[in-house]
Amino acid sequence: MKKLYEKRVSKEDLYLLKEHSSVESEELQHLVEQECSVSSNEWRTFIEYFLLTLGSGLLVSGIVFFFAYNWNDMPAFGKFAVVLGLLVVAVYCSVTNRMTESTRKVSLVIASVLVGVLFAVFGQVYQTGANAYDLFLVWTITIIPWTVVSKFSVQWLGLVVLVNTTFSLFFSQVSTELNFYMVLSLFLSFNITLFVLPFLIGRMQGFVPSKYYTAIMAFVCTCIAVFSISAWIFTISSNYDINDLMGESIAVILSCVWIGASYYWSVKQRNILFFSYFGLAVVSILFMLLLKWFKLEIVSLLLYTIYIIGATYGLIKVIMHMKKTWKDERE
Amino acid sequence: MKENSQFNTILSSLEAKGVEIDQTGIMQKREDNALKTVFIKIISVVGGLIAMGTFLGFISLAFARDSNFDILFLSFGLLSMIGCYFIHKSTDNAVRDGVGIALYISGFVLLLAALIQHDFIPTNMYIATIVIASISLFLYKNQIITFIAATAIIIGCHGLLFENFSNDYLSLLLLVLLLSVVFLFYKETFLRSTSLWWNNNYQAILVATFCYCLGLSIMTSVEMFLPYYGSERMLFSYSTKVVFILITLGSLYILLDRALIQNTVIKGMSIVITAVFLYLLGIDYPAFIVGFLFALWSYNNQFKTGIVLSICTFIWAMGMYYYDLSISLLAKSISLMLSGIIFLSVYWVIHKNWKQDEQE
Repeated sequence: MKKLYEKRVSKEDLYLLKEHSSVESEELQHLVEQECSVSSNEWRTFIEYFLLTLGSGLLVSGIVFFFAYNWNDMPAFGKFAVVLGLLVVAVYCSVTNRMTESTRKVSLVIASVLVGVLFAVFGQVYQTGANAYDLFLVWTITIIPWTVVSKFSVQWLGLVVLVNTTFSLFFSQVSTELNFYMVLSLFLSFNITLFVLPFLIGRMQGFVPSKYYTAIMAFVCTCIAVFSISAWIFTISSNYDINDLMGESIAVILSCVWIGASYYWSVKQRNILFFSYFGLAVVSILFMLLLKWFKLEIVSLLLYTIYIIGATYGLIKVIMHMKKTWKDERE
Repeated sequence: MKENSQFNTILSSLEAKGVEIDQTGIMQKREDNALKTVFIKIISVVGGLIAMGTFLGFISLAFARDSNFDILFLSFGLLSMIGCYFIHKSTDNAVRDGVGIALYISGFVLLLAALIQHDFIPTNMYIATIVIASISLFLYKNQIITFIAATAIIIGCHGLLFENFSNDYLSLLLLVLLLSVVFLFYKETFLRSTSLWWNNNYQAILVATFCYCLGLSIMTSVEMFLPYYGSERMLFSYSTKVVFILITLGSLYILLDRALIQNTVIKGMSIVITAVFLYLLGIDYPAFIVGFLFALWSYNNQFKTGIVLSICTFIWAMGMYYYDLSISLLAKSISLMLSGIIFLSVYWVIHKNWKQDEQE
């Protein structure tokens, strides 16, 4: 696959010359155009990709719209034939050697989506009357083996969305008696597992999940952890029955373990993103404690303001310092 | 690093030509830029917004018995703005981004709150927003403040148009924004190499205008807002559409020139299919054509986030188009398939032509 951009000098670096040198405007203009302009070859690559993506995207959408137009009048067999036909094509494209690796991976994602469409059509045609939870559960279970062998972060991210949707629907439609803290603990556990799993499986496959997967999953886990601790801070135990608070300590311990582990991991791997999330989590939890300790009145509002300004400053200062230190150590 | 050595070679060749270069300053700035991640920028703005909220709450409660809220807000607002100005003289990035931004946002909102307390007239408030934001564009040397100020100016203009021009305002604003973004992309090198002010503020202004324009194009492609996009005056309606088409086709012509595509057949064909695409989808659903146009310009100016945002806008527009009940599914399907077939045919012709060129 051809690259959209070749490696070149950064435009931003060249523009620094405006402020830090005596270079003439015309010369700088010439320099930027000469060193940073997109070449004719790069344009050709981009135009080809752009036209191909745009054309096929519009055509496929048009075909989907056409089926949607005739959907109600189509016999059940026709509906299944359309979805199954597309599924077979997508699965074939994901396993054949004739396609490039990226096309195969994208085809697998499309096939995973089509599995859900197939189950939805099944429910619609036979009026199964099942909970939406059932559909998502079967869909999730079906695509797990594909995800495990996919070596593709987008596929893993799709599985994360499906697992979370399934459990949200399960807790709202089926198991409504489970208390709030248990639900939070389970959500955190699922997401931590899904975060770690591709790394563990990837070791055997020579696959490392993309940076965006790590960034999104770490953020989601940190948010759930901070939310659990905040809920614990604001819960007044005397107002609740003991059964309502079951799992409270599990949720808090699990959240603290996650936050602590993210700090340990960030320092060990010199990962600034993890470190930033850790910093943000600590600042947020301290703010929640302030909100809890000081009732909403004049002095406390001033205190909040000072704390937020100070914390923002401190967080930025610490993140920048750590980033610089780790960068220097690497060099 | 290859890019680093290339940059050093450029610096050496410039020095050999007699250009004086402050290498330490450049390295310092490069390091500062590398340290300022998107995360830090988001933290600054979010922290600033929360601090503004609690500070506003503090003043309101502390002086609840005072009837002169307008003077109070004005004094605190001015104090915050002045404080922010002095903080920006600091050499510490964390102070500027952490404390400075919080003071700026608080000051801005307090000044507007003073105006609302004094006499709430929407038009005056929008004008005040534009004036305060315009002054801050020249007063503070900070990319985040420039971004906030540029966004505030556009919001002010949006509000003013909404108050005074009823239904015509959305298409007019969208046109002006589209024109501004295209101008910024087209003249980037000129603006940044001739003016120091533009060099420092260009990226923040571009991002603010780009995002607002993209957001507005999405809004005008949502069925709920579609009635606001059209105009009841026929002449106005047609003239805005003509300008819209001219911007799109003009941009395409310039970009094809920059891509060094000399073949008249390819040039002509590209312009014709874009015009057909405009006719089929782009005029009524601006998000399609704005996404298309911005993807091309973003590629040309190596604005990678812009490419991703443009593609997302395009996908969003497709979803909105599906749910538009005023057009039948059959008509939608035919227009989409036709556009798809045209683009694929052009791809086929171009691919064949270029492959032949490579073989020769």
